[in-house]
Amino acid sequence: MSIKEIPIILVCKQKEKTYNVQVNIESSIEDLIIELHPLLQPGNQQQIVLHFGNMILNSKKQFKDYNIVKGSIIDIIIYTHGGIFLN
Amino acid sequence: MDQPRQPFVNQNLKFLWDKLQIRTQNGVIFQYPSWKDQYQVYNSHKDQYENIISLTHKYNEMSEELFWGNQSETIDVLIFNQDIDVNPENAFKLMGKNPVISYYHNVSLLFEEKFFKHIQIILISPKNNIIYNFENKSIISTYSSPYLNDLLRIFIKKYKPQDQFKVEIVKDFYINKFPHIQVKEPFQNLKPQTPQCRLVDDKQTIIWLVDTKCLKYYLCFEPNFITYYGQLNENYQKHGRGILFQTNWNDYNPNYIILQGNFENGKRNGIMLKFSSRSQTLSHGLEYLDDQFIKQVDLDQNGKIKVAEIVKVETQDKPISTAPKKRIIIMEEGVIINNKEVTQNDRQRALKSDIFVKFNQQFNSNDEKILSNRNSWLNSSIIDGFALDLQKQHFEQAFNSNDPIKNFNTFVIDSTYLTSAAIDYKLVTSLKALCFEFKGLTIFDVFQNIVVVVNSNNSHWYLVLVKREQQQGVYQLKFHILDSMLGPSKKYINVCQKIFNLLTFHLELDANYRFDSENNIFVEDVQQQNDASSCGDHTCFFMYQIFNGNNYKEKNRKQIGEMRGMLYNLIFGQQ
Repeated sequence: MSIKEIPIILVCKQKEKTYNVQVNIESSIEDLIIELHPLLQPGNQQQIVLHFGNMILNSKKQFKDYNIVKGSIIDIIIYTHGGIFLN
Repeated sequence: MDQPRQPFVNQNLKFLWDKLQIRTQNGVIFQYPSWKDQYQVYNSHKDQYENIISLTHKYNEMSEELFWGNQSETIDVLIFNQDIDVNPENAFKLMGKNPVISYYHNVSLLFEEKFFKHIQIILISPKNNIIYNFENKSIISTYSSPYLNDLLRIFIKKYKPQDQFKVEIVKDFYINKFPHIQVKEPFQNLKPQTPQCRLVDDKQTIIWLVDTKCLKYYLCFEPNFITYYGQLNENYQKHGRGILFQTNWNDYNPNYIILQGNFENGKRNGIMLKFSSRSQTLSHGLEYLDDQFIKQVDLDQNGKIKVAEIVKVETQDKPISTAPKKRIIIMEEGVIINNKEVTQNDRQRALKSDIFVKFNQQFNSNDEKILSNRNSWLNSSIIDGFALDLQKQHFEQAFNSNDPIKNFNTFVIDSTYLTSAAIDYKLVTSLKALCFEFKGLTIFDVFQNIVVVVNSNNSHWYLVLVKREQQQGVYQLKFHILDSMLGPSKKYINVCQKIFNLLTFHLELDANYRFDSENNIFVEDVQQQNDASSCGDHTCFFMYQIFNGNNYKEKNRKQIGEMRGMLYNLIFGQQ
């Protein structure tokens, strides 16, 4: 594994999933979201958002922009578009 | 705040000075001598001085403990030598053979500057005491002797007569008993403290004294979104141990920085621990010299330097030599699960080019449609984004006003606190960033208004304004309901109880805080909505009024009608 590749942990509490991910720190957040799409299969009105600490990760930025380091835990939150809906 | 002091580093030799030892990456090279080693030197007086030698040994260990545990600024090294009274010439001559002196001699050679700043040597004999303070260049002695200066020659390589230490002869014994550690008194019902506003380094700063009984710690709010908890010097500059919480705003998005370490006269100095959040996740160490960033240091989970090797931070303008490797491997329970190629369809679905992040929320064209259409309900991104912006403005306005203490009075807790357990630490982070974890001061001392944004069953928005009142020695939390579709107070019991429980848990509020069920819920007579979609607009209006010190009970349908336009400009406008 090169220095730029780091292992991180992804947690999706909504789907009760935990993933170990090897990612290049120069990859964009978007790259990871694209990879997660077939796995989590959000609905048409939903979207995947990644949280790290108290930050929502901007999909246009890279992992290194957020000081994401080896072993960092990133939360996957599946948001529903269109805001609020009745149960 | 009991984070241990970081080891001192000798950058040239890659040596670390830590508690009772000097080590390199590969192991310990000098260690404080054990009691047995010291004992052998004085073996001839075994019975007579056994007790005192043992006590000096214990004292020195305790002194090191206090220093590296950050409860003392100096290590007071006690050296016992009974010959000082009877044969001072010989006593000072043989001083260099004392194993304790030898150890600190090595410290002085390898960490010269730190040694002179932090070490004080106290020679004791059955009749006399002599204190050598290297920083103040003073010798305080209970007797006069031409040999007093001899000890200095051991530690100062090029001893110059003009640098002679000032010798002060005192009559009384300095030490007639061994010092003991001051035991911290537990906090009792402290009266709410009064902050003061001072100009520190030309910046208006709100300063709270957190602890008056033991060590003096302060909680300071500075402009530019800086909160500091730690020690100050006489000029109220950061000095000593402290934690700095800073929010940098970049493209309307906050970037939280939490640094813990040593400050000297307001400047960061030495290795600071950088936390990725207040959840105790240590990311790495940053070394500063006079507030200037020097380099990044790898730390282990205990905050110790992993290796003496320093990793230089890449600068942004450094060209990237090779194209980044893009492949991402996702594993679940040890099995690679993303081994299929991502199809164009997946890519298109995942990529929503109109997505952007502002105010730490994600928005897209759908939010634009919501804000352009009065019949759509506002979503959490819009409301929480607005809340963050109001908090930011509040901070700025308070410090630009004539009375920052009075005007810095409102704190908002966004809707994710109650709706998404997955990210509840987000609030804990921001609250703890304001140092509410520290005993003796709570969020309610600093802010009179705690605004909680509530999303009720995914179908309705309203605000709960939490205030504290002292009644008969206990604190009652009062919940004011600002709801544009108000109901009886009973309706809000569950939500208020939940807020009370979460605040009690996360802010570690003590047993003095009470929630007296329905009696503490006040449903306020606020503007009511006359449609089925504007609860979010009303909620934003109430929030706006509170943050701006206006009357939230004001009936102003026109202004509420303008909220959506204001939100649109805020999120989609070119500001």
